[in-house]
Amino acid sequence: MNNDFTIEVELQSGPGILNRMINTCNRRLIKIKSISAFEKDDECSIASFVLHTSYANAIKVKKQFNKIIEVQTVSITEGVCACTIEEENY
Amino acid sequence: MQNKLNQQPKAALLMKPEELSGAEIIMRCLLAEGVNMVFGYPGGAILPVYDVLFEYEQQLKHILVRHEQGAIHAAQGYARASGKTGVVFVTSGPGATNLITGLADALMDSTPVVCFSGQVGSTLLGTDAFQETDVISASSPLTKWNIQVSKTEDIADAITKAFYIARSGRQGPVLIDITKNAQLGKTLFQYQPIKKLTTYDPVPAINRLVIEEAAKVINAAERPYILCGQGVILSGASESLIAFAEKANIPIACTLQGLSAVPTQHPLYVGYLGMHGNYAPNVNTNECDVLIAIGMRFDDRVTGNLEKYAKQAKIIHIDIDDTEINKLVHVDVPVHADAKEALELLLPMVVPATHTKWLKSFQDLYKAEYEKIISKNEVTDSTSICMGQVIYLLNEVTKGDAIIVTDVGQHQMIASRYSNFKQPRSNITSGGMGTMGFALPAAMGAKLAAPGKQVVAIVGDAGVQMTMQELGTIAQNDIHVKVIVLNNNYLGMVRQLQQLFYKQRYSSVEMINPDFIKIAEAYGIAAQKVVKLGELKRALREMWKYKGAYFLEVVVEKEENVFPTMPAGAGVNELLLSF
Repeated sequence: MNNDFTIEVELQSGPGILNRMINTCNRRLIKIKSISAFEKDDECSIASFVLHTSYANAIKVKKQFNKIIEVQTVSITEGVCACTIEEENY
Repeated sequence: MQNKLNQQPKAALLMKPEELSGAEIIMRCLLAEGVNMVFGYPGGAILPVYDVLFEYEQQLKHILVRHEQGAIHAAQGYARASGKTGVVFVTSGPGATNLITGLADALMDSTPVVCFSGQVGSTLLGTDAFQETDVISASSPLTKWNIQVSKTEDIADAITKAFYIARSGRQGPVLIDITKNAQLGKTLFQYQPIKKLTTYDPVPAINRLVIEEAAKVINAAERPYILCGQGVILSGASESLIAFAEKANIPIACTLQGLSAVPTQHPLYVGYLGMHGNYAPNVNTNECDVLIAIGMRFDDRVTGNLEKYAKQAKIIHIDIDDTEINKLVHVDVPVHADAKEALELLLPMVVPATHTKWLKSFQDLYKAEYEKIISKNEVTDSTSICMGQVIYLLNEVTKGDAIIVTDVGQHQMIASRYSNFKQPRSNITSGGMGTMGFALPAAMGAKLAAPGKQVVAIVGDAGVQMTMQELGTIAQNDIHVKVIVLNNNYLGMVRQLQQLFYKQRYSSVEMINPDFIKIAEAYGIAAQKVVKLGELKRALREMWKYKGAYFLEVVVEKEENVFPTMPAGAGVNELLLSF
């Protein structure tokens, strides 16, 4: 059964990384309902994905995101979650 | 060969900063990374690099290939035979896009390769300039990591990072795209090796509790069974695996890429897994009570129908890549670890056992396969030649000491089924991608990596024509590789599938081939054609003894099929011995 999952990724800023993450979903035919991505500072960026897929697929995407060299942390929550980054960091 | 950082940068290069061009920085970094050979093809956007390479030829031997695909496959062969990282230079545009197949192949088969592509000057990026292509986007899903460098001062950092990433953790290909202005610009250079990246942790910390759990499951097993993948070879774990298996008398089967991790003559080696693998190791996957999968990824060619795969067994999966664990098969004991480290920790915890009855069951199943299939290879009085007979006679000549490089198709399956291997890294083939045209350039790279060993490329008549231009590279560089073409004038594997599963409608599989001998001789390569079985042994001996490259065409039975085979949807225990 498919549900919404929010995957939040903390990564080192750099070109092409968002592309890698989108490719990860595309090649598995996993629907991306929304993406938001922004640079927190020179070093760190945040990307947040809402995926509509099965739990098993969401876990696989989490692992695949973790495998991307520049990715620092990946968290996953069931449902559509607001970005947890505190306001002062914007 | 160690998985991790086996080519530590040379301390001699840690000298005081010097002002150098980007192109020269590339050379210095390569030397610092222990590179002494590069495969490549020059062009406009990488001219500054080739200009400097001219001065470094003594230290950095450049092999000029005939096509960039040949360069990356040669680098793959070099890496797989030596355990070192293969290096490739290409130009922008078509030079870079010609790498794509090789990058995908290296990613699937975990081969460490660092490719440098030239790129147009940074002011021309995005202008559709001559030979400009977005190789970063194109190669993104096919590389472990890639980067475009448009400033000279960023080159050294990118290269050290590239080598670190390519050869650590689960190894793979990396591409660095360097703009022409970055190659030409100058900056202060001091080599700084990378010890760690903050966001990348290639060596997982082993959870001892998981190892203890694995040992407990293995010790309680009555029919334990090891599936050995290429991860064992990449982590240099062959000896550890054998010690572990011998202690508890556990049978070992190898995947296509795992072949040569364990000597084929070892008493616990029970054969080759997969669609055209041996009967016993496939069937007994559904009979074991504990499956210990090491450095393998449950490829569909190994598992067949997953719904029918090892449902009765508790599965222990040891792999350095966490994404492989629980990807296809539910794992009871996941061990996210380097194979060697995990096996060394497991060894003292495993209690000795005999498993006599279980081991005998493999021999019983082998008899069925021997009678129906294998025994045909021992026929000595036939006129025509079957592919297995070639491998059997080749084994007599090589005695298991050669590096066997295979292409893709029937000959690959036959060579994998019947070749004798004694040493790890003596089986090189394109597994995951199944890239026809891989063998000839890969064998070239393997021979350059291991000049003291005989390297035999076994190729089909179709596959050899995909990269046949590399005969020119073999001739120019006097690379003593032996090429055996098994010629049935067909795309043999496709024809077999059409015969068995498409009502014998042979659609576009017949090959009208050129005179291969004339082609080889046109390159100045010694060549011979064999059509009768009686001539084969002598021809193989001549090839083996010949001091130089050799091209042996063997005309084989036109419509031979590879058995066993696994029809679509079948389980591993439903392998067909005949049709």
